[in-house]
Amino acid sequence: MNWKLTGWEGINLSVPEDWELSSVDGNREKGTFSLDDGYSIRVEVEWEYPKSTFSMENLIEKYMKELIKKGKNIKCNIVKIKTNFFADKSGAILHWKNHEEGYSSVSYCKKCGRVLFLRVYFPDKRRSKEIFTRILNSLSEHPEQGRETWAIYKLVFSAPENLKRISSSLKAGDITFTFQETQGKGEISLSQIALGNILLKKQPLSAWTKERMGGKIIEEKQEERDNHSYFYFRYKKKTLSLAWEKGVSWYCPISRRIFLVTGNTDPSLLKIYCHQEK
Amino acid sequence: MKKLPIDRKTLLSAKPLRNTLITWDDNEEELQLRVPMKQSKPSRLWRFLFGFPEQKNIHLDLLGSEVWKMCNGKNSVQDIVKSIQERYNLSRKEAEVSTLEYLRKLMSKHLIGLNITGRKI
Repeated sequence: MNWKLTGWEGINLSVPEDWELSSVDGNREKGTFSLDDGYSIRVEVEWEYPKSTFSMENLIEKYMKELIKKGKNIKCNIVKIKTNFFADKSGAILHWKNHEEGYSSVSYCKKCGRVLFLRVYFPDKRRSKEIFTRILNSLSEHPEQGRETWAIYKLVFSAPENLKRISSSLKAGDITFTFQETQGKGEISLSQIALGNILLKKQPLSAWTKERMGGKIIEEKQEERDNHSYFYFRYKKKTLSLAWEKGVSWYCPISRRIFLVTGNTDPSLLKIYCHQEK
Repeated sequence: MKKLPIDRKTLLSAKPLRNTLITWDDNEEELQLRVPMKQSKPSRLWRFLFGFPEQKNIHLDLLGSEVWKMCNGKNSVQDIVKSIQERYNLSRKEAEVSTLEYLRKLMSKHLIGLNITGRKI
């Protein structure tokens, strides 16, 4: 079984290759995302910062009741496997069985004060413990060297932790993220477009970029580097702002995708892994 | 288009079949489908009066042509999705969403039908 990284809002975990993002909600402070295998939900992750009166024991009890309720009156057998299993966190690992099998972890991070719920479902009950253990061991929820990794579908990139996601569009084959600096007015957008080889069959990258940006481009520069063709440009947004913003687009012949980074800050703030080295 | 009364699993195992009245040249990368027009009396009269053509041409792009060639009644929807996913380095979801949407379009134009375990839709 091949595994891959999934990352959203600073939470990273390794999952089987065919488990893909199914839904997202919320922001860095409170939110949720789930992954499915094409047939059913396999992973659910929830996070929030609890109120000042907080007890881990109460939280676990409440969570267990919610799990029973979610079982839709089917007899649910919940076993608390371990408590305070985590090194820098307090929490518990639960195992439940009804019409399906699942594992959950509830953890409170002593460093950042965030509560994280991880639920992994196994409708086929195969290799459940092994898979859950690997997912749990891969779980990380803090930036490394000041950067957060984002990984969904086939888009993998890292962003400085002071960039906050303000919007995202997750259309099949056309993903866009927009980030804003938490202090300051810097804004940066990243788009990844699949089937680049087909899109660039009839027009060069520069023409494609102009079409995508709406033809407001000046100061173009093309560059070939590491078998990738880059197109640097400056452009003006439709807003009343007088400032010209920077952008770069490139085509990766290995992943066969087009990447486009635009914004009023340095495009190199985002580190994009446009292809996986073999 | 009316939503198909079938679940995802059944849909993926269904085998798309091309409309046998449609012709095309197999030696091109991007196919041009030739769809014959209705042969009813009013249609013939309209064609006679206004000089409308006997057939309608539909141009398929590269990806569409590949999907069309695979709609031979032997490949299931899942096979087509998998082939597109591997060939174009797409994620499962990207390949599935775009292929299903494309097949839906072909079905709405009556260019293909789906064979679901012997049952045609």
